[in-house]
Amino acid sequence: MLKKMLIQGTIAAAVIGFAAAVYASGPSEGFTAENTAPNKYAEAGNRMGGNNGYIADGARYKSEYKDGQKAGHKAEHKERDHDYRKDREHDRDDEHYGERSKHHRKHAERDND
Amino acid sequence: MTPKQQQALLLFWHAWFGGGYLVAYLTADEDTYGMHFFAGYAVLAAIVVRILVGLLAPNSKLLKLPRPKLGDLRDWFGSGKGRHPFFAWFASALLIVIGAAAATGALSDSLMTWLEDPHEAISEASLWIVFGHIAFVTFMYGGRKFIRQAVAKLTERLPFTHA
Repeated sequence: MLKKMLIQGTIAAAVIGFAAAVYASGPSEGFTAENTAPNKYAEAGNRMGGNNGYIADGARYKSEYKDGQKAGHKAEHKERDHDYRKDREHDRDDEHYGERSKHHRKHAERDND
Repeated sequence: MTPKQQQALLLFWHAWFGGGYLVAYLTADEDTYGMHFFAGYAVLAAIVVRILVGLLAPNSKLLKLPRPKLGDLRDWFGSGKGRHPFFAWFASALLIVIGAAAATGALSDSLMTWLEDPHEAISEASLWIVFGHIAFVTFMYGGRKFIRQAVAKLTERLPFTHA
């Protein structure tokens, strides 16, 4: 009787183990919840889906290209590149301004002393 | 349902429960989470089925739910006759503890993630009850005879027992 139960248990373990392995090798891999849609959009840098503010500026240009709204037009590509460059210059100005302000602050502190 | 069919059903359920538990315990690692998830639900389903069958067949000698009583334990240790009450005690303990492990595992997966640590602790405790159950059943269905024979042989060989 014990031997019979042991064999049955082993067979059941093999069958359940096989079924579990088949289940686990499926697309969801056993996780019940997938990524939420807004996260997927945000990962793709899509402006429509909304992002959390931590996505690189360049991503929005990529999404425009991906969405196909402006793709294919040379002039628009140029315009976009121009926008991008303008943004980058603005960023650099900000950085420079930051440095300058720090410099100013330092001098101001010295003057105050 | 004939007693033979009932016994076959009980053996099938036992294999399902034991096999599912074994797979669930061995795949508890994070790398095999999908398998653990599947096997855990198989165990939970086995417990639910066992409770339903037990409730639907309360008069069946084999399929009714085990009801351990302290009085039975006292009587058995007094007379040593009848079915050992530890069978019912172990069966109940296994159903409750493994049921709790399976239920906390299912809940910690989605609704109550804070149950993850209790699930782990209950699962570890359940392994010892399983070991106890296996040791007890092995002892009752063969081990006892083996130990008696071994003790008899040993007492024959010892010089001071022939005095």
